[in-house]
Amino acid sequence: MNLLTLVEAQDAMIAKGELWPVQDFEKRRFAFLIEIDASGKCLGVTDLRGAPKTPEATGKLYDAPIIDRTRKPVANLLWDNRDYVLGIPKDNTTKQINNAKERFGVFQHSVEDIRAHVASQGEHFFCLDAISQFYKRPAKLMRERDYQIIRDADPSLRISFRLEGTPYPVFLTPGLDKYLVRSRLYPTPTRIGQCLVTGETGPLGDLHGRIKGVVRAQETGAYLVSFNQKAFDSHGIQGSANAPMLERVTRGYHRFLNVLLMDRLYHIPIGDGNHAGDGSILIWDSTMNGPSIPQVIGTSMMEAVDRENTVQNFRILRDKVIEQGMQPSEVGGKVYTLEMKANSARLAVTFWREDDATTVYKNIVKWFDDMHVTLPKPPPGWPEPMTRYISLYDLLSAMTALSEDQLRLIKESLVRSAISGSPIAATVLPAVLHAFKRSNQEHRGSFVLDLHQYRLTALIELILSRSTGEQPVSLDRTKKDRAYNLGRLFALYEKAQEEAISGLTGGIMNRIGNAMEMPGTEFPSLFKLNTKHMRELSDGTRIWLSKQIAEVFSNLGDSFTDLVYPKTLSNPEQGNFTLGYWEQKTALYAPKAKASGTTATTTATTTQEIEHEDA
Amino acid sequence: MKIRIKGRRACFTRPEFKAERRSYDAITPTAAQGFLESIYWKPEMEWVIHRIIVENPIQFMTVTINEVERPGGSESHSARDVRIQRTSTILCDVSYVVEATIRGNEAAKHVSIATRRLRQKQSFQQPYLGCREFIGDFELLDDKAEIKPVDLDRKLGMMFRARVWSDAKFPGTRHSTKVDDLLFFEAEMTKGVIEIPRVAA
Repeated sequence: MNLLTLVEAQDAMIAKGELWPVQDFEKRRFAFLIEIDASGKCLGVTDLRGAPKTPEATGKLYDAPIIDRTRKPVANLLWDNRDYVLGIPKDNTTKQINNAKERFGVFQHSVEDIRAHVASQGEHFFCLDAISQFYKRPAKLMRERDYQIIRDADPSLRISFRLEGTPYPVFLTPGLDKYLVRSRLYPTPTRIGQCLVTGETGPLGDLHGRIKGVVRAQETGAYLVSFNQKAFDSHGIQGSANAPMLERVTRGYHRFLNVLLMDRLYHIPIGDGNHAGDGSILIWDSTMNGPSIPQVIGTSMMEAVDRENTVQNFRILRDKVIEQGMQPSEVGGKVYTLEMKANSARLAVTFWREDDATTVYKNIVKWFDDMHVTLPKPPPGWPEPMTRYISLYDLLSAMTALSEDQLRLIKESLVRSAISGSPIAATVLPAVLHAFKRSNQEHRGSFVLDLHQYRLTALIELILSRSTGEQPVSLDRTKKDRAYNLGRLFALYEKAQEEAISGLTGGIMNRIGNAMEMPGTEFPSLFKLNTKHMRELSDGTRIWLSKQIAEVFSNLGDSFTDLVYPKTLSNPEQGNFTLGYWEQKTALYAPKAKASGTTATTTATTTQEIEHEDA
Repeated sequence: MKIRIKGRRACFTRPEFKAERRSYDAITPTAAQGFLESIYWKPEMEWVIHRIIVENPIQFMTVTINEVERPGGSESHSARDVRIQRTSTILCDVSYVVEATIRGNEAAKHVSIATRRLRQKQSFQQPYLGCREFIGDFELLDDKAEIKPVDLDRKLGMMFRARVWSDAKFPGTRHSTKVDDLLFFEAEMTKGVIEIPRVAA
């Protein structure tokens, strides 16, 4: 991974006006703005908070000057929490009251430092005078009801000032931003040297910016580049001198990552933050224009936090990008994938890819092609139409039997495989098979069970396609694979029982796990059960099922007497069992004209069109 | 001389990602130099790396292992008290052909000794690929040996080139303990070949 990519992306965002041009400015949410006039008199408090349980609940987003509070108390520049800005303690304990007094003084001192620094540069800003006057007023700073609004709110919310007649917080006053850089306000001696990221020579930075929002990282942020132990000193070179970088680099790349981490279109969280191994995947492209490939990938893999938008954006993906067949010439630039995991105060880069957007697009199309199995038939009135474009969220929600740890590993592996086109980790198949075997524990007798089994079967098809080669996308009546045919046979036995005993919601279905793992033990008894069930059927149904069972037996062996069921099936064989089971099950409910027994092994048309273009 | 260096795992740690280790995409000239110095080195000579040819596709894997947060040194400590977990992103199945010469007094003599040692697979210590855990294998190639560079063009960014040593007692030599400066160069792989710029003496 190259930090230069992040620095260039940051520069591109600045050029487009999406990131503040002055270093150390990052996006933060502000809950309150204290309105003051030129004399420092408080006119009121503007509450910027939005609806609860939305991102806007903590306020409005502004680019604000950030300092790293490595030790306290250090005040932010013209904004902070209520204990700094107004001296209101977090709670009524003696410790917090004393802290608030100290921080209040530090904040006022910081305002005076800024005024003095600006004056020393020969400039003057009315807003700074106004804030200074605000704190010098002899009476109470604000009305009691304004104090109460802030006291009743969360103490961690951010507060700043707004000068009467201006639409922005004071720190965004045109021309003032360049003074709100801590390293210029309180300069320290800097070294001059060559930057190992850009290759340029210039003043080197010491402190790197913190990256906030990575799952399981500490809330105050973590460092991507860190030398926080003596072990990282080398040949007398200490700390960040081991990796000399320009100040604009050390204070720059993290801004870009922080913007991405705030946006679920670019940020795929892995895990819930409570387990080791949880982290974040970021996907972006060099154009940063939407709807682009990375947004398309990100929205197709979003969590259910915003289910409405997930479904809607996923339909955009399906309709515009895949089914309309975006031409390779329209897909330009590069797509970057970065996975980070937290380790106390540091971040580790665990996955990094830089691909042409065309390659990623092809991989995403192939991803959906590889998981193509027969769609289930929903009952009348089912709200969502069936689609072969299954989002990652839907795949994972079908695996309710698995632990959080397993789901995290599966999600990570699937995202990596979708982007890179690589095989899926070997540990995923056993977990998915386990979920399939346990799927009948819930939602028995309802279509939800079929939906879960469909999604799991599609995932198994994907895994097998990537490891053992192309799989049939519908029932293959001529396939001789024994595990596949055992799956078909199980589906036929299940159908016979269902026809013989109406209203049954369990029965043979409960034995699918054993049948997959130990067919040698299960199938002889299933065969005996089947002969009893067949006697209960009407002539037409019995003949129809018998023909299909006979077809399966002919694929398995020459005759009933020669047939020897395998003692056990390996995981890939169990995967084939699942495919055979699902395809046979859906074929049993398909209209007769469509159940012709032909096999579709070709991949989707869009993929073929792309390959033809490349030839 | 052309020397093939290969191994199952390698980690040429980026200086900026020292804490949670991440490898460069290919072997650095200093790592190649260190590898060759494990085979043969004398104070009056220096290995000069001219070119690195990458033969295998670049593949990474991630490992998380327990390590200690500070080196042993003169004071002893219990590993249990200083244990930390670190993630490392390392290279898999690497194979490089390093084109190198020897510079120094009586260079021809040293070339002759080095050639013999390379042929006989002799080394002072086990050569390794970046970290001591990742041992490497080597062989001397003759002019007719087949070299198949990977068909890949990639900008590798700024790569570590050399340390500038300085010490009042032994200026400019490896006996120095103080590093004055670190040098980097813009590394670019063209059809699997990385040209290494010279460092002024």
